[in-house]
Amino acid sequence: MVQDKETILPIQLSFMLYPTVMATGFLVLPAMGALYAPYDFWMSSILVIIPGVISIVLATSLHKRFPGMTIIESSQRIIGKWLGKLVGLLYFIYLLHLTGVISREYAEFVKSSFLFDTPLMFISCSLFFLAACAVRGGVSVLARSAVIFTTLFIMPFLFLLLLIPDLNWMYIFPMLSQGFVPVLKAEAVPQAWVSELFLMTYFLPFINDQNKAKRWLYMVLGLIVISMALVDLGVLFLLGPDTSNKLYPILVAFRYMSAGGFFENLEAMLLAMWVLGNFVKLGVYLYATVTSFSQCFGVSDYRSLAFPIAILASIFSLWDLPNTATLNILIKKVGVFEIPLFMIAIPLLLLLIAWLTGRKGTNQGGVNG
Amino acid sequence: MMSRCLIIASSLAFVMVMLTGCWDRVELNDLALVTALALDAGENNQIDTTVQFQLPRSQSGVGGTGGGGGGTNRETAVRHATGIDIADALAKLQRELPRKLFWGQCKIFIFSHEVAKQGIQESIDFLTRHPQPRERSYVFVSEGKAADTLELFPPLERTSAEALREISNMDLGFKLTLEQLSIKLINESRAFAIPYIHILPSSKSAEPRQTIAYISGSAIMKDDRMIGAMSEKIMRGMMWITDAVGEYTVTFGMKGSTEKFISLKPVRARIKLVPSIRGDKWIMTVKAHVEGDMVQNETAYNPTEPSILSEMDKAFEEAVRRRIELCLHQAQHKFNADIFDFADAYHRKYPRLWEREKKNWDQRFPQVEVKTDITAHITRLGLIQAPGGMRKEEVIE
Amino acid sequence: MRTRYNAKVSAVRSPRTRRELSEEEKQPLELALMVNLERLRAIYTSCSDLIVRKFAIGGRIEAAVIYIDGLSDASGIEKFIITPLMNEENAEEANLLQLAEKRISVSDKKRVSTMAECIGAISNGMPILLRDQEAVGLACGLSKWEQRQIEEPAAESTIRGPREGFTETLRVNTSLLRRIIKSPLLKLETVTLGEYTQTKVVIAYIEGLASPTLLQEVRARLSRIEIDGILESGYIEEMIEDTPRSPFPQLLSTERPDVVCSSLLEARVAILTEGSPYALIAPISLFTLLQSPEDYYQRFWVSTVIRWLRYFFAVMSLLLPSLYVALLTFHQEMVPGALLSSMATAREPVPFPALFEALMMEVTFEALREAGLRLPKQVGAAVSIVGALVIGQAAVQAGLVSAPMVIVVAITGIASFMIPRYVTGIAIRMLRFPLIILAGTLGLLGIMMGIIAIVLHLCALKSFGMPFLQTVATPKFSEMKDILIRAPWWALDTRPQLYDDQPLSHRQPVNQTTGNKQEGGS
Repeated sequence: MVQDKETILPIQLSFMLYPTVMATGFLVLPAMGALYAPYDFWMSSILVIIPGVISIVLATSLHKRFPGMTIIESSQRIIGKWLGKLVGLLYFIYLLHLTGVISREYAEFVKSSFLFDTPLMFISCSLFFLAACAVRGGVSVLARSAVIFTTLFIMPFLFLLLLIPDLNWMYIFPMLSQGFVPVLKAEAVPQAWVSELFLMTYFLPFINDQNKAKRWLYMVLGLIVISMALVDLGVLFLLGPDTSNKLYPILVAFRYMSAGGFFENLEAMLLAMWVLGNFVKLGVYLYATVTSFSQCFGVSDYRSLAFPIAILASIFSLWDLPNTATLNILIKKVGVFEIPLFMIAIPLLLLLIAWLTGRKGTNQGGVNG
Repeated sequence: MMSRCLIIASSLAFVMVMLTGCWDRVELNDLALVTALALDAGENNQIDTTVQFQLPRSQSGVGGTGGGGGGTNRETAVRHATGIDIADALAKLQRELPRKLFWGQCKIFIFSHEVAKQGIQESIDFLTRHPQPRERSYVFVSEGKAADTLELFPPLERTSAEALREISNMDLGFKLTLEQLSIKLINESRAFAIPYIHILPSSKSAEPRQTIAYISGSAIMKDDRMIGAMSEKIMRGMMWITDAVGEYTVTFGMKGSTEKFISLKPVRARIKLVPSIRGDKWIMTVKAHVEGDMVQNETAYNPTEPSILSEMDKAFEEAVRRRIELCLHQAQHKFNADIFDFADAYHRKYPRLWEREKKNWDQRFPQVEVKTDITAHITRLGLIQAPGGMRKEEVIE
Repeated sequence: MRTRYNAKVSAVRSPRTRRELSEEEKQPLELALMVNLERLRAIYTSCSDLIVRKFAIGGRIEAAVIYIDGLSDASGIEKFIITPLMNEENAEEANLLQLAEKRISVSDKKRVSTMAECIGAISNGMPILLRDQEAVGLACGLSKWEQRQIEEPAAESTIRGPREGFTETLRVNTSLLRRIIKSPLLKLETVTLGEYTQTKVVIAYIEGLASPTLLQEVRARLSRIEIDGILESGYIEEMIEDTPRSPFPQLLSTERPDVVCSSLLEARVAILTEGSPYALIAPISLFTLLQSPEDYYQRFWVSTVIRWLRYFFAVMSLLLPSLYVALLTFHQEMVPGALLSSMATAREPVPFPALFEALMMEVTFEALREAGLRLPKQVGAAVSIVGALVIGQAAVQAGLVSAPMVIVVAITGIASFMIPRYVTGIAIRMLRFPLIILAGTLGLLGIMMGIIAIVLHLCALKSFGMPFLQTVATPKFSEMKDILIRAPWWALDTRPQLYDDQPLSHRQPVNQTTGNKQEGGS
């Protein structure tokens, strides 16, 4: 029937992108920021709007110039077929690594806080299996499930309102006691994760109304900034100077909740929503990886690649990093440069070259494969 | 062909999941529900842990009063173990228990005062690092051996831990959660107070251990060691300054009288600490706005007279000031411990200056001049006007 | 549209096994009456209910009426066909058709000229009138057979709303539809399916509302069905669904004409089958399966609250036993302290682990429920009370199950009965078991995995090309007001946009002036 060509709505894209940033953003970012700016790290979560806007502008401009094409395809037009394929290969390998890191982060969190005896491989591979099923079903299935799961992901955060009696508002002072530099340092990790919004380049070809898409994208960026600021502030008010020492501050927040002696010990709920949020995030990343591969090597149907690449990525997740400490360093120190390189620097370079050489794409995108 | 492969693969996966055993599954009846943990000092720098856990009630259904005869229905039992550190001791403890220790309901941690004197930082590391102890549990220091406070069987609650928790929840006294303790240990003021518990002597008609532990006063900690204890009366002052007064009764005499008193309850307060620095002098102003409802009037004065009421207000104000100053004096001169978090207040208002001066806080703190600015009002007088049961002639207007 | 059903259905029958029309059936009627009668008798050998009544028109020309006893109105045949023709005087001049015009007062008449057409007419209860020396016969619409009265549908009763339900006769059902939708734009197309049953199937739709691609697809899928016999609309449902392997139905089956008509007014298509009181409606979404017709007859506040209750209990019936198992075996800290110790006490005497106990109780409950359907009415009430009280209580006291488990199972059972459609309830009940197993092995993580798998499946499911989770997963806020709440009638001014080429997505705006306004005059 009519709906054979896959399309997604801009609102679905927003629902897909929100957990892509926030699934890590809620969990580890407050502690990372608090390390540099113990009382001011919430300001860095507002500054994060800048790299967010840059990512959105990059992705949408590239798409406007080369409609219907993702960055992999447009890079082949911009710098020539072989160099473009090299870029595609780079993206593929990098995304494979990043997907593995994300899955590892999720599995480590689940294992260290809730399921102490379950093997890491099992936690990681089971989510990969489901994500591969979603990618195999196609973008529209992924998008639709993202709408439902992201809604369920956000709702339990309303429970954080139960913490209001325990919050100490004075922890926000002193403000900017050591100047603005610590805030910029605290900004380092969040900006890397927000720049992952650039992954929308893999989904923009499926959207019909690009102007509406832009509106929704800025809306989701605003929502991300607000959520991060609220979580940062909430954690600050609750934990004060102790924030930087906790590995997962929001876990402490959920464990601390108590209402009427009945709603206590709600961290299992955090587990439940974490699975949902990470599923969407992993689905998005896996889809990006699969699409990079299929567009780099010219495979027509990306769906059949879903499971093999998922297996590959799960190997990366188990093999890449020996322990949590290394994972922590990866996020704190390495990711700060690694992620923006691929999500901002390379696309910016490509866009500049395209602008200088005046190359544009035609309306036939090769993306429906 | 493809679907057959899929079916075989998925059934294999399914069987694999079931065969390896469900890794984290623990049946409810294989758990020992721990309600409290007590830490004592053992010999040779070891730590002695005592765990109180709930006994499953007898099988005669929920409504039955079965179980051991006699007056006490013992619902808890304790176990001890000694080890090099807490984790080691708990591992040894688990060996003595047929069920797995479950910390989800453990809301009470008690340090004996010996352990407190030696320093609680290592213990706190265990309690905050290990994923199972709850951050919302209350922390106490006990007067004698901490293990003794666990072997009590309260008449009203099921476990003595629950009794302690309910008392803490009532907000009558000072309470401290594990997370707050963890924050205070790294705070600027480097000193804080932990509630001090004593065992209530049991009444004449009760069994010897049929009593509870209750909170009275607090232990003063500097860095992470206990340097002394403050009595309940003196603690009140600290609660006034740190705005931790919940429901509290203030009793005072008018015009310095020590025979007839007026009592107000509940007393509500809004307290603000205003730091200021003038030259080399550090000043802290305690601004308090206090209100109370009268519940007992032993004097002969009629409080409905505005002039008398304002006298009573002044007496009220004086009473509050006295309590604050009593505690201040002890904290500043006897213990030299900034349990009121003055350091935090200075840090917030003068961050740069504080960074320079904070190493001198030990010398500075006793020299901080504390001014009080208290407005006290008696708002309601209860159900009667003139002193009850007094003839009209005797009432002073 | 890529669906897996294509491959399955069209390769169902190879031409060899399909019954071909035999030679006799293809022959046309002959002039000689005796030849025709001989042929008919040969085709209907050993059919003892075939009645051949020979008579003479006007006493001179030979004629015969052939019908099947029980399918046709025998007295009507005598009164309206045989008697007038017997009394006809000028028989020779007129041919059969002119005679019929003059004498036979039956309104529905059709010409038949081949054996196959005769057989078709006789099988549908229409008696054949044959005249000597004419190669043309007349099929008269005098079918009459025993049929059930119009009753309230047993499985879809409501407190408020019409109490008429479909019966097994197609004509009665279409008449019920026509009584509600009187516009001639309600079109009823007939298709015949089934080799041996030759069942009539009617496609009903409102022209100008239903999307042309939908109609085309429905017709195409029905025409691809090659099967021995269609006994119930369930056969058709399974054969034209997009994904027959899914536990969720992708066509709505209902016995109520008001439900069918409201769906037709929402630009959907209905399929009615002869011999089945269940009509099929396509396309649907998951929320259609969770709606009850009563939602639209009651006040909107009441309906909204009951809708929320229904959604909540639908989720409960899916998740409650698994949550119980997961909380008690993996996440005991989530259970409040006092409850935890009383549950521990209750579970002390039970030898089974929580997972096994839950599975056992659920299976027992399903068995009880299924058995309850087959119980004779007199025994049913007593056994259900006995079952509930005695078995539950005795099991608890014997220490086989714990009391909290019995409560959980009871609440789950009640929750699953809150779902208005039986098929949805069954689907959810079925899915409950894998979730319990997942909960028992992996705790809350397992439940979440199960939920993700179910939601993924629902997202991929399509009903005639329309995504199953249409309004929620592809959010259309204008349609959500009928899903999340039940908006009052003055707000329900759009139809759900099911397909891109669907015309007329705005309804007639409901005009409603308040009663207070004074109109000019009286």
